[in-house]
Amino acid sequence: MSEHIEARGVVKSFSVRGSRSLVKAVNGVDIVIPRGRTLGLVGESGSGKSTVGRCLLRLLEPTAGAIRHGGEDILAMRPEALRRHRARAAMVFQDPYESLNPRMRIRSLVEEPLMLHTDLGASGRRRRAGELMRMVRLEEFHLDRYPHELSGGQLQRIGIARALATEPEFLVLDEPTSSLDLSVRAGVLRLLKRLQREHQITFLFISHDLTTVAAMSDEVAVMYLGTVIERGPAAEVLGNPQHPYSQALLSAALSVDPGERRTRHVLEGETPSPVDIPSGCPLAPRCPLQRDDCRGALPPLHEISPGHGAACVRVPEGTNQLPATAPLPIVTAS
Amino acid sequence: MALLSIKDLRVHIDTPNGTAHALNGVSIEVGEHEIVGLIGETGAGKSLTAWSVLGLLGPRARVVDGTASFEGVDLLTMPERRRRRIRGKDLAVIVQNPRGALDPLRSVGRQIAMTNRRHRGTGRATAKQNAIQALRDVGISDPARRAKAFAHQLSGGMAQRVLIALAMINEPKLIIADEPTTGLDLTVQAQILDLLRARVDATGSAVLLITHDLGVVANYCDRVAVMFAGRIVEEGTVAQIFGNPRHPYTRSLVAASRETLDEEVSDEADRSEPPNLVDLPAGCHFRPRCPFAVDACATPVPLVDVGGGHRALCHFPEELRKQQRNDLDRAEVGGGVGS
Amino acid sequence: MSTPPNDKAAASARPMPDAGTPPAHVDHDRPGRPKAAARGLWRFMTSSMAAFTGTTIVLAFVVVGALADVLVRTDPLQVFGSDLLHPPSAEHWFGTDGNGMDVFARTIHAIQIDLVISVTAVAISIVVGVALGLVAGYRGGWFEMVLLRVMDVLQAFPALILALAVVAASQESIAAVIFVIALLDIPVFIRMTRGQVLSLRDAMYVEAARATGNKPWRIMWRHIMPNTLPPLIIQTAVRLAWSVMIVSSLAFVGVGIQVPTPEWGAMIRHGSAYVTSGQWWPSVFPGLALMLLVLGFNLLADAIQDHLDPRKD
Repeated sequence: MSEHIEARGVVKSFSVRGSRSLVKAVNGVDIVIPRGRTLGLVGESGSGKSTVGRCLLRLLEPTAGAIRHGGEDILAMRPEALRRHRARAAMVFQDPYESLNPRMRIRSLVEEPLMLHTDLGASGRRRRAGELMRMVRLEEFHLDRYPHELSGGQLQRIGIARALATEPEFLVLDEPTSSLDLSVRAGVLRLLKRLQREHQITFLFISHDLTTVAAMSDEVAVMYLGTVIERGPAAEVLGNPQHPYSQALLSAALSVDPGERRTRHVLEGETPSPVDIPSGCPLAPRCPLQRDDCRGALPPLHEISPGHGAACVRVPEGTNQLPATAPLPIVTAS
Repeated sequence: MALLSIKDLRVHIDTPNGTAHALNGVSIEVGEHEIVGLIGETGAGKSLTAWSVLGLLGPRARVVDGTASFEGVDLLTMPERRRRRIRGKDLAVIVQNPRGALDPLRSVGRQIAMTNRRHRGTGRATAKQNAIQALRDVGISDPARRAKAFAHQLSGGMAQRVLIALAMINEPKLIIADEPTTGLDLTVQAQILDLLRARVDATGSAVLLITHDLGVVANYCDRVAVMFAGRIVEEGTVAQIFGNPRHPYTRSLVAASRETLDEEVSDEADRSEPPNLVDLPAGCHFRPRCPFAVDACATPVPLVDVGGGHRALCHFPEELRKQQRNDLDRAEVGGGVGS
Repeated sequence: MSTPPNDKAAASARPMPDAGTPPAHVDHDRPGRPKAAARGLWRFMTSSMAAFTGTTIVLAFVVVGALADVLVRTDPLQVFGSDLLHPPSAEHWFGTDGNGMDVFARTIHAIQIDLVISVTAVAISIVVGVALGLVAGYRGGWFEMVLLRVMDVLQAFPALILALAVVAASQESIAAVIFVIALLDIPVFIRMTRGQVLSLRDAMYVEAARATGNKPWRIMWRHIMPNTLPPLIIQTAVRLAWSVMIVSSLAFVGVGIQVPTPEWGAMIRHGSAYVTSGQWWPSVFPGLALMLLVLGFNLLADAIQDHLDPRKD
């Protein structure tokens, strides 16, 4: 299978207002996704994961790097070509309340991409809008509503319908369920999975929620401070994390099964601001395992098993496992 | 006797479309040394319950019935002046968006010291020492220097620690924490909740923890109350609620949080419209969304004790147990990540 | 402490369409529009005292002004030769002025000229100001910089003195007055629109519109502009009140519209000469009319502001 989405060495820096320093949000990231597959991009706030997603769609101009979609060079496109390209690559946003114009009817929102990218007439658009509503399991009468009249879960289905209107091949899903109530999350995720299967869509699934990433992704990349520090098959990375940061992140995920207490690794402090990224391994200042050679250059991804790599200097010698922090005492009701 | 005992709390809110029945008889008890989780979807009335108890309702909302006894005295009927003396001393609050809750013009050390002086009458120098100690207790390194910082100089996690220090300074008997870790990163969330749990265990404070994150509840709470449309629909210990949910709504929540999407379940229409609080259905409010609803559900719902302090607001709490057993027989429910 | 989460709960109290059942009539779009507008107006009017009073005053002025020729048969320019400075009477309700013209007829007919000038001027400044503000806010860059500096210079002049200079230097008085009011209003609308656009430009739905492949002008027009409407409506009412004042003020100091054209400012100026000798009616009645209309616009602006406040429901 050929690579559908391929990005090499993507860098994105922003200038800070009123100062000369640059914020390096993304610091040399490679992304490769085969057609019809899902790459889960995991990280905490400030890791640059959303910026990567926006660069792949060229909603942000990368500072450096190369991005190809089905072999086509996205960064070389002129504005008009890029605008037409938007029919083939779409985005589903984090917060459906914020990403759907509150003053437009659902119908106008869903039909807008059809108007921009197809030569369908009014009746053709109407028919296609109805089809899209059935596709996302909503009713046709929802088209005559305004966004504030629908629930968060329903609105996100509208966001998905809008993204799928022109039958794109590639979707960037930026935390599509994190603002939704728990009870409707699974429904939206199932919907996405089915649509991917039926239409062979390639997904970049951005999330900080490891449970949904595990359920959605074929491969996973973990980001920290603008760098991918671990990547590999989803089961490998999430089941057997190698980079100290991945280990800490995974151990912080809370299981809903009381009594089940995993080993916990608590890192000191918080993700620093991307203005002063340390040279070498970005985690070094917080890492209990850091040593002198962490500080020099960014460590390469050392392979653990085929396709699974972690950017930690200790991986080759196998001394990269974090010591366990004392688990919480199990609370008993008194 | 419970520390905080909310009984049959009813709150109405005036809206352009009529009176919204936002709380419809909420009863919760919080005892000493325990963390009670209050969960439910957006608009269920979790935060409203907290704000009612604190006497901080907006102009359009009013308590129409019920009591909220704190150490045996009703908070709802006492004069505001007296309530203000209790808030910040024996009853403290931790809110979401900690930076917005801190005074932007005073250093955090001064804010903590002032709270200490106002409610405990400590002297200026002692209060300052206490504030620095409080910051140290919440795991802030170099607390003397951090005490001089202002809210905008703190990261989200640091501000939340300061807020906990502020809440803890007068050794309150009860802390109401409204989504204290929402918006914080996972690794920081773990730090903050560990801290809260440790402080509770060390000082004997009790916590009413409002959250929508079931993982937080399962790992840090002793008991849980589940809210839907302004009512507590189920309550029990963490083990009871997660292991043996008796209300269909709780069951859907717990099932959703264990979702692995592996099974070939076809996706269905989304019927998740929040209940219309202006015109709630008669009987069980969950009825329109309940997969097991029958005609009898339109009659007033009893709060059924299913044993061991585990209660469910449902006509058929036993049915669900049978149903659950069938499910378990059919398929083993998968766990979370890496389990 | 932030405000209680009252709004959140109230928001969920919105009547939600029930899940399964399609609504009885979906097509409340085209045929019902005027009726819906009338119902909306009525709901707005009854929402507060200010809304009711403001709307009533403004509507009354518009109707009376439009029908002035029908309602008041007396010609505002007719000179009742024998009746100079006649006090109010059954024949001349507001009396006659120093030229022997009927003050009532003149006060009523003046509504036309004052409203037409103000509305035209404000309409021009909305069209120009909103368009420039949209482009400045969305595009930014040198265009925005130059525009803002020009606006700074324009607004640095004291408004009335600028108006005086321009109108005094021109021949065509009414056109000059319209021009100068528009000139003074345009910066207001530019700044307001630009401010709105800046806050909306980074809104998620604007990014979503870009991701969908909208062209810039369509993003501005379809996605940003409608969301700048509420403050625009409020500002329009405020500026209308202000424009009526400027029209009259210019006439009062003697430039622009001249007697005998029926115009409140000119009437007040002309009548003020007689106030000291006890003949108050030629100046007080137009003064009251002016005050009432300005009050009406201001009440309306306040009421709209309250009505559109998102925290309301």
